[in-house]
Amino acid sequence: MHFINLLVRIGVENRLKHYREAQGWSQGELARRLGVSRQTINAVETDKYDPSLPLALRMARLFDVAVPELFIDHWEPEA
Amino acid sequence: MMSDKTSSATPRWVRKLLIPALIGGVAGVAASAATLRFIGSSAVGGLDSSATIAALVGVLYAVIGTIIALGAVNPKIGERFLNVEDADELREQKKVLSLSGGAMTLWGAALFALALAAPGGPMPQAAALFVAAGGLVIGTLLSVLVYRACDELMLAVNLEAGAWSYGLVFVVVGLWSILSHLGYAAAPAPLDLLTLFYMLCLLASFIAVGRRGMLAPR
Repeated sequence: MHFINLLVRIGVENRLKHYREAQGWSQGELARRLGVSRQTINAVETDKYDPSLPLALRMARLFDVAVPELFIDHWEPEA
Repeated sequence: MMSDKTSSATPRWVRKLLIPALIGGVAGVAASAATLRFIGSSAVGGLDSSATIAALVGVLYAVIGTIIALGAVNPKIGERFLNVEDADELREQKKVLSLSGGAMTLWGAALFALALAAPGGPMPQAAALFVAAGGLVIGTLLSVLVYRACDELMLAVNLEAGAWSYGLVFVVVGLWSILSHLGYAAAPAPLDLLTLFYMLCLLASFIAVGRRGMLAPR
């Protein structure tokens, strides 16, 4: 399992596509508003890349939501 | 901002997989055949296997770099064989892609010049040194400009590719060194080591890019 994780990256889930489409924006439009490339938006939406904290904060601000509403981590602290 | 897609009737897998693969394959085979013919011509008079492989890898770098640079400079044509959503994406990435293509082409030229260097090849050693050092230095300066123009995803991919390069070089060169030290294999020649660095860096880049889903058709 660790070897699979090494080859195929598994990150947090996100709802970026949902919020982007709700605004009627293309990936290119969102990329332009955030000052990143379309590839970055595509990689985030397909769970291939977790954005940096500053970019995640900018995304949340742009959609007027909290970061945990946009990015979902299923990690649970051990009891 | 979406560009017109005149070939929208063509199935997506044909546009995004088959055509780029065919163009890349034809370009690669043609360049390899031309290189081998050039090496065997009277101008060169043949090279040993190390120099031949180095020349082929140098040409591979130059071909990939040239294809990327041409695609970035001509987005309407580039969208047909580069893995992008449309021509506008190439226009947005023009600076990064054209500089990257230039750097790869120069690095390829550097290795090609070293492969052709005397005493095994026809190129005077001083000339080969000039081309190789110039190609490596200018190519590296271009890559610094690329680094500065990258957004955070590409910076992450660059760092990851660097880490993969280190690991691959350590494993492959280390294993070869172990076998040579123990007398199970011939020691790598300096040109073999350089060629290995080139090949492993390219492989590392593909691994890093693939792990971010950037090899999947857009």
